[in-house]
Amino acid sequence: MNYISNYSQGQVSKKADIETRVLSDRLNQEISKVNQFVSTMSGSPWIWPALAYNNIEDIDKANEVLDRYNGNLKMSVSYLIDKNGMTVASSNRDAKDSFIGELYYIRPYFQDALSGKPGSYMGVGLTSKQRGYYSSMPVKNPQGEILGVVAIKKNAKILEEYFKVYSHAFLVNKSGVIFLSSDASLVFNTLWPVDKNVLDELIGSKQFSEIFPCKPVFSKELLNDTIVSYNKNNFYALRRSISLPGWDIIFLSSMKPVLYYRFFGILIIALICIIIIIFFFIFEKEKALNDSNMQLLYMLKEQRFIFDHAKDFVYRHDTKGIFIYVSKAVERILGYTQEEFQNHYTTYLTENPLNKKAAEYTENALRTGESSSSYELEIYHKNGSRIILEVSEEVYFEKGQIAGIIGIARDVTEKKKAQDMIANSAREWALTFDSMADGVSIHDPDFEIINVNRTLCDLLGKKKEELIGQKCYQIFHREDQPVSACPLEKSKYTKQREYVEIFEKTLNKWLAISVSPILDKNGDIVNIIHLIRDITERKRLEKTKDEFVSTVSHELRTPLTAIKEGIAIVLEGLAGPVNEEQKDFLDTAKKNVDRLSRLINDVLDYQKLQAGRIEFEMKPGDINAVMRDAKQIMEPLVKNKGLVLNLNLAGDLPVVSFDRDKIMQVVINLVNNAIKFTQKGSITVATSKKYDNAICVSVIDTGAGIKEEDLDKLFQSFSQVGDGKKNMAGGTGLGLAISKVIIQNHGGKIWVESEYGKGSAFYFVFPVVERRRPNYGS
Amino acid sequence: MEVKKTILVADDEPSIIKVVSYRLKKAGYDVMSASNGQEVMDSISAKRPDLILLDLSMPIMDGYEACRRIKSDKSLMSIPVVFFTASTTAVDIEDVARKFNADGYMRKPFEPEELLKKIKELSGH
Repeated sequence: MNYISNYSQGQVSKKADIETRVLSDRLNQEISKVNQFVSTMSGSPWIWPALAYNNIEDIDKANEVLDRYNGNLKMSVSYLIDKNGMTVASSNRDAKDSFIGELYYIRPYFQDALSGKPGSYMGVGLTSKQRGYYSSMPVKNPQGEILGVVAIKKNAKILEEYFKVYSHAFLVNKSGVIFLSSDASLVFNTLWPVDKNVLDELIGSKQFSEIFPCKPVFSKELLNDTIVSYNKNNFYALRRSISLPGWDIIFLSSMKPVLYYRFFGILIIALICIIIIIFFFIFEKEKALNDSNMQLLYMLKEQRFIFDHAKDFVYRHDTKGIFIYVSKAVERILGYTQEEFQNHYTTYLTENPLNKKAAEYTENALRTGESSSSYELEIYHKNGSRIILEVSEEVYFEKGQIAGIIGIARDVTEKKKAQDMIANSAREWALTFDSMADGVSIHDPDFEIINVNRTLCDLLGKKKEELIGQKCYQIFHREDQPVSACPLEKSKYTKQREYVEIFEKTLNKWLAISVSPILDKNGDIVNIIHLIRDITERKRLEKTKDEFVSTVSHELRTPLTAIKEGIAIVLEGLAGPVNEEQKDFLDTAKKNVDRLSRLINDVLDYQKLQAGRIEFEMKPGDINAVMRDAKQIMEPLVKNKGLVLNLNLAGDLPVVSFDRDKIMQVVINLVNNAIKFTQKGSITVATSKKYDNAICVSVIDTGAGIKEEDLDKLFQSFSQVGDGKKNMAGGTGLGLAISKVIIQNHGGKIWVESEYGKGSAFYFVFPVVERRRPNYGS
Repeated sequence: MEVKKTILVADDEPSIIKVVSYRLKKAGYDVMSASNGQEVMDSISAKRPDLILLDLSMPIMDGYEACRRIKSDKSLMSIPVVFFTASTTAVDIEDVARKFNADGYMRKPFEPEELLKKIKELSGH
């Protein structure tokens, strides 16, 4: 307990000490300030003349000085007293209780100053009856002669304010008379008992006015750093002197509420902590707020950037549909400024039917409050062009009421155009696909139909849905697996376009089928395009043509037979003797009949070969034997013309399959040509092996040769090369064309090498590998 | 004196009959003629020829039908039949002749030597 008390006492004294010090400092400052002003005024050249000459002019000047200094002090009076103690000039000269004319001779501060030293005094005013601090200085003329006193009275109420902030603070004189007090009721009491003589002397000095209660507060003089009892409480007493001699500050600090004070201190500390924490939080929050503000700012900037550069603009319109806000991007997108875009939304719409739907959406959203999904509408650009906007809208509310619509609009004109283009081309493609004259099906590598066009559907008499997903052999051949003749199957291995013409019994139609594999970059089949053309009509026409050709040739041959035979009978002399001249003409006629006959045969052959309707009888055989037979046949003709026919046959030829008669036809044709164009020299027929898997036949002559520019035309039908008719004797112009078709049908190739004037070399090769022509149809 | 062989020339074209008959007669044959298949059948039933030179394309009854009838008649099938036609190519006529059991063929226009050679060969002289 004792310990706590001691501890508390220390705390209290420390606090009281500080407060007493603060109080005395303030008091000293006020006193010092007043003293300084007085001192300054006393040295003023405008003050002493008022006392020395006592004329109005000088007094006025003195008053001016007094006024000027007094103006800087609160509740004070500055005044000038002559050496008789009478006030001659004063800052309160115009006031009701003016000091002018008043006598202050008895005042100690006057006495002090007149005697040549600064005067300081606390007391009640003789004129004003107000407590005050008096400061004075002697006024001397330039010779140093004291003429009077200049003084300032500072109203003590100003000073007492400093005391009122404390519970128990007093300014007392050395006898303990309370002059300034935190408790106004104690003023002019004594803090402790005063000796009667002293008291009388005080009363006589009029320092503290006539009113003078003498009830001491404490039983004995208060000394510094003591504990006293007051109002049944213990106080810690502090006594501190001020700059005014004889005056002390008494400060009483309560001992009882020490704990309370302590608690209060703790409370204050806690409060400070809380404040700090709160500040900290606020600061942090502010910082966070700042951060989020920055982010918000960036977001806004970003959004603005986006909206200014993107093909979007944001808008808001009220429930009537009048635009309240539209973002700046509208300028770029629609050409209107923000200010121009403030009308009802319908004023910007085009007459596009699309917009009816858009208006419905908007009205519905405004009525129900339900936001619609995005939709499209068409709006006029300021320049009159049409802009398609994709719009997303949402209803917004104010105070629970539908307030309007906020939306974002995107320019999708280009996108729309592109979409339309794609849709158009897709539609065009679909239309094209379906309107193609040929039936088309697209297959995966496993024969499954991925797509078919209408033509094929019509051809098969089936619907698209029935065909897609099916295997082609199920549809076309009604088989469970690919058929061997299927060009699709073949194409899978050759990876090339394959073509066949077949008579499809189930459809009673002739079909030309072309199959093209589509390969990826690795050469694997991705899809197969299957083109089917109905060639029934073509076949019918072909048949008609064949019949026609056949009939025509028959009709040509029959009279030709009669002519030929008639000429022959006459020429042979069966119908009587013929002279040489007649014989010559009949001979010419016979030769031309023969030529006409060959021509008819060749045309017929060529036509049939080209149509692919001459069957080739491919049989394994010895090609050299054909050459030997050909030589035998041609030998008489060759000899007849004085030429030599050489055979140069290779011995190691592989056995190949070929149509003997057709190959013979080619060789005879080539030898025949050689004979025709060779005047002297030889014709050499040779065979050889070529590239291990092919046989090469050559017919080389030492004849006229062929001009380079004619080489290309040589194998065309009815081509006439060389020097004209003289070389064409007996030729039909179809021999090489027919030969070419025959060799091609053997999977081979025929060509010529020639040097004009030195001879020609005809070659044909065909492969050893059996190459069977597909055998379809009737 | 050797007995003359009789050749039946069947053709719907009179000029053909004329020149062929002249040729054959000069070559020492007896020549009968017919202008269609029906006449062929009638004449061979009247007088059996040693060879028939048969045009294929004829009215009323064509050569094919006539050949089929002859070759399906046991009493007639031994008569050599030579198809004599202007309508088809060599390869075709060979097949057709084989198919109809004809004994040979001759294309129009013909070489007189070949015709005489074939007739001589098939008729036995």
